[in-house]
Amino acid sequence: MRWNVDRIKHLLQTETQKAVLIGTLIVMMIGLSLATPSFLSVTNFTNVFLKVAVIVIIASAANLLMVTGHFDLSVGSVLAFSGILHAYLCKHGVPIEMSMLITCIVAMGWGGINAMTVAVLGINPVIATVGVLFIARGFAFLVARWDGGANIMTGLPMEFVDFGRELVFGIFPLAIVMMVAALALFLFIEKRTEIGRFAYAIGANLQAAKLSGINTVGIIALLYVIVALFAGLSGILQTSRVGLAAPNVAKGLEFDVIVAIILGGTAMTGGVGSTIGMLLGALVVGFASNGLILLGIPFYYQSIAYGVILIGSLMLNQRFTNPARA
Amino acid sequence: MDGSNILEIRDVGKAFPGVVALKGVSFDIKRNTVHCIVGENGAGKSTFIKILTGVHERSSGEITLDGKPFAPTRVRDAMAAGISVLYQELNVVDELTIAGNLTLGQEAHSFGFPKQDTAILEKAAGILASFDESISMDTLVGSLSVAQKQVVEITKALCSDCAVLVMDEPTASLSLGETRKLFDTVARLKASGVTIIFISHKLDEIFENGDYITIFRDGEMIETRSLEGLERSDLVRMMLGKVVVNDYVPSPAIQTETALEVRNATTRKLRNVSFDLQKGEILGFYGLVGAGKTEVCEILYGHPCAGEIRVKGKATRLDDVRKSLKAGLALVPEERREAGIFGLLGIRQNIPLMNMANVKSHGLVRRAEENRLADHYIDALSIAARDREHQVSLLSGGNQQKVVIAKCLNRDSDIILMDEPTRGVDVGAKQEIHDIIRELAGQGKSIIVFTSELQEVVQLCDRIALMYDGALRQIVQNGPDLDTDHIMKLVAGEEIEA
Amino acid sequence: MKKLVVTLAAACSIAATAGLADDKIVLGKIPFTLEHSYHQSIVEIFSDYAEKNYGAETIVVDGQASSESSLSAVENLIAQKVDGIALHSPDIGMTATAVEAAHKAGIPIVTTLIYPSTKTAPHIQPKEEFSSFRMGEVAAEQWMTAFPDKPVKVAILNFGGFEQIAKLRTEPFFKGVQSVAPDAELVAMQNGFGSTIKSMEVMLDILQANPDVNIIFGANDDMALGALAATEQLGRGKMKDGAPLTEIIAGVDGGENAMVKVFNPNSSFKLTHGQVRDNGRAEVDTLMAMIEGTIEMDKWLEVQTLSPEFDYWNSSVPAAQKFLEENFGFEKDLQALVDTQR
Repeated sequence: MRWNVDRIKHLLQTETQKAVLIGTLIVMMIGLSLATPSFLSVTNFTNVFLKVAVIVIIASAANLLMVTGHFDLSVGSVLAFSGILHAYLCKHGVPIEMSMLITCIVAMGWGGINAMTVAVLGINPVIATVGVLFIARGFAFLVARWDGGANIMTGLPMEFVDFGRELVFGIFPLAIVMMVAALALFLFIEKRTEIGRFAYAIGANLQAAKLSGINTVGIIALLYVIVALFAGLSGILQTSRVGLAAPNVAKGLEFDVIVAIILGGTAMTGGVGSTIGMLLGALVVGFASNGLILLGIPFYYQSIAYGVILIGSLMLNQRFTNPARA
Repeated sequence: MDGSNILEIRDVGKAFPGVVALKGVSFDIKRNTVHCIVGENGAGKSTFIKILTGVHERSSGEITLDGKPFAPTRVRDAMAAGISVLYQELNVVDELTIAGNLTLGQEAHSFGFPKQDTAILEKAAGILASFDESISMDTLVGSLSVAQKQVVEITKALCSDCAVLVMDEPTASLSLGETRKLFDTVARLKASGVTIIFISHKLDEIFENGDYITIFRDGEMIETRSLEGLERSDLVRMMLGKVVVNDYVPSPAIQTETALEVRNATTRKLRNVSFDLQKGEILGFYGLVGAGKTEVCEILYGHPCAGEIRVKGKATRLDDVRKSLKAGLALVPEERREAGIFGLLGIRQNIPLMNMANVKSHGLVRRAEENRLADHYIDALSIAARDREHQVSLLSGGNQQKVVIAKCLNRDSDIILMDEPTRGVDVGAKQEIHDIIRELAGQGKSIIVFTSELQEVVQLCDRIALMYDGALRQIVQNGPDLDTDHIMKLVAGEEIEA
Repeated sequence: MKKLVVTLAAACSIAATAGLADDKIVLGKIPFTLEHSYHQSIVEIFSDYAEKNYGAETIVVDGQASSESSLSAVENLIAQKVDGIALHSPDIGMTATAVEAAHKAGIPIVTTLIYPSTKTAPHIQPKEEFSSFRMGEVAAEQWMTAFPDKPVKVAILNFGGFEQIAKLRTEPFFKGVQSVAPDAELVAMQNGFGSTIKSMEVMLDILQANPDVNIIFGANDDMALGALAATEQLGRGKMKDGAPLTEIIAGVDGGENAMVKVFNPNSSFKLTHGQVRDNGRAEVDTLMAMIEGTIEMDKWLEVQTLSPEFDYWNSSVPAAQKFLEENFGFEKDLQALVDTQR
């Protein structure tokens, strides 16, 4: 009997958040398809996925990073910087593929700085990654100034937008394909690799992980570098989709990423969380925003709804990850 | 020393929810003496001090201070009555000068503005100079040594007319020279009429400074007497209580093959520690708190030391956890919650973490292998859990410890270090864990048990290494003729004839 | 020695001290935000013009698109005892406070673009509403000519809730559309946050709900470009030699990025208006007139400037080239840039 109570408790703790998210999604979808006939269509779903693609790509890696008990507030700036750098290089004669490669490597460099300060030197991630947030953003503006303006658009080769607007197999937008690939990669890492197992162990108990011989510094550092790489790739993707690179994009993206992750049930202190939960979290935010625009609701209410979702998610998270306090 | 009592403690008890920390103790503290209080961890001495200084309220009993009833409910009450504490963690503000520190919290105010009370400052300067003439009142406290900061704290206590000064492990973070200075200070304080309650794990310090001693054990006052004529071993015997020598079964598979040799290991705390560990043997390290057991464990698992360590005959550096693991050592750490278990994870995820190779094939983690491994250990160590997914933080202490041991066993190391393997587990689980350790030795593993329970070493270990003050004094062979008096003499630091 | 100290102090403290030393006039300019090319250009024009025509020096302090930053910029300039301040404030209430503070210190101040609630200082106002109206007219005419049977449906991206933007841009634009197509319907008005990326996402959603939208107005060029990217993503956004196919897009500012699209016969972004130079010069002229005493510094005076409209059908590339050179320091060849487009 006692075991049964425990089992129910355990299930509540691990799976309720996902169930609640799926329920919310279903309710929203039914409501929206009744309210606006244009909701239930392939193109609309494509739009929603396009909107959350960048968040989900970065959050795939950032989710496992948060499972280790760490987070990265610099992703928005790294994205903006990478977009600008890619456009700058392309505009100044570097072949597009080569520019992508260079941009990815530089993006990993930003992740390397975070890895060094947080994982190796042990500086609090709030401070260290906010440092990179400011520095990378500053360099984004600086590179744009080198180019002579506030943003980079004219003078870009006409092929510049081909990458971002590419349709894989003629139907699937590349951003969505990359999102699925990032999700699949991290689902695989989470479920089937040592790195995944160790990430949970580090988040659950850093000291015990060290004494168990786990290379804690290496794993945290690796995740920081991957997060930055994904932010860099997203920057290339986004810039190339729009055909314009602006240094002030993706401000606050770090919060969108963290909201998706927390909404998905990952604890900020680490040890608990899942890639699938994160995806559900991102979709709830994405469909909510899509629905509000489809319904023609002014953005003030969208902002309020976003805040309500955020606080609600934190309350859920609190409730289910700390059963003792509930 | 007029022989009158400054403090009279009568039937003072303290109960916390679910546990009685102090079981009605009674004793006197004589005016103008250095009164030592000793006892192993959990004996009740900290609880007593906290009652005396107003941190805790007592559950029962009476205390009189200078003949008047004394019942502090706040630290300020105790200070006002003349009882101050010199804590291990010093309570000074590094950013202020000595003068600033000394007047902190007792600034006189005129019309709401703090004003420097010159009378207090003069008095303080006089006291300070009597301890250490080299420091001026304008020195920034942050620039002082730990011993000098202690002097500042003592000065502060004396400024508020303290009659009783409690010193809680005052030498814990002092160098040898600083310790000497502190003892001079203690002598001066006594000369100036202050009564000192001196708490220390170091018996040398107690015999050097103390006049009287009170021994605590298991929440009870065992004895209060003059230190004069007290044998160290008698003191230790009173601290430890009766040791039952029974149950010991020699490990069946001890071989002459040496698994581990340590020669002249020296660190800040350890002095020339040398020992051998045989294959299939259970070696126990025993000593009082602070004797250096933990440090011996550390040099085998991730901490550097001078000297030589040989694993299976090969000289090896063990200054990194991963090097130790690679060399074939594994640790069951002392602090289970902080360093052993992964509380948020299930048993299944905990067990393979020290050795993922056992659950991988073709480089990938296999759930089926994890399940098999978890089921195996749940069965082999009889871990009481709902199933293999049971979150480890929700298990009982004994079962958590079994999970930690399982994680360590999965590493299949030849040498297993166990730091306090049965601390905080119930009696049944303790027996089971002892059986597991014996069985491992039977399989030819070499095991070192570090424990602060004498009962545990004499029950479990084939040989017992006795530590005192960072030195390994002797390794004694366990057996029917084991002399526990001899053990107590050694861990008490008494000289013994060769 | 003393002299050296004075020199050092002068070198360290921002140009103001140096300005006072040789009696050179020092003007303070607070742009809305230096993150945007329009405001970067106005700062350049302002300083060049002040230097060349009046030998005056300019100190620029970024308003960072925030009331607090702009107000502290004003206080900063007052403390430096500049001779005049030009302010593009982000909100009306703050403008009144800033004007009062400057007047209290005896420093002339001129505001621009955002009308102050208290009319106590000269103000420079580009008359954008005429050009906004005109763009609406042209867009509707072109659409009606191409598709007389398809009713006009308008979508607008704004900055959220700026009243001035409504007054100067979005309202006159829609009125312009209505003046030609009285049945025109405004089907969506959403916040594009002034950002290309955000506008692209928002426009994708708008076009999902209303695929028959055929006139799109972005309240700045960045948002119009985002709307264009959204239409292109959906396989729209094209014209056939300047003839509308799916929609007509209009923006505001008239920068290089927009002009390249406007004169590309295959893109559906076809109209914009803007002006930097006259506004910057008017600010300097008005400030200097107050300093010289020909205009009273505490009387309301509205100086109007024009915001010329450019569209594919009625404007020429050389005119646009000249406009870009005068207003944005443009040094390239617009026609060549247009020719590289596809």
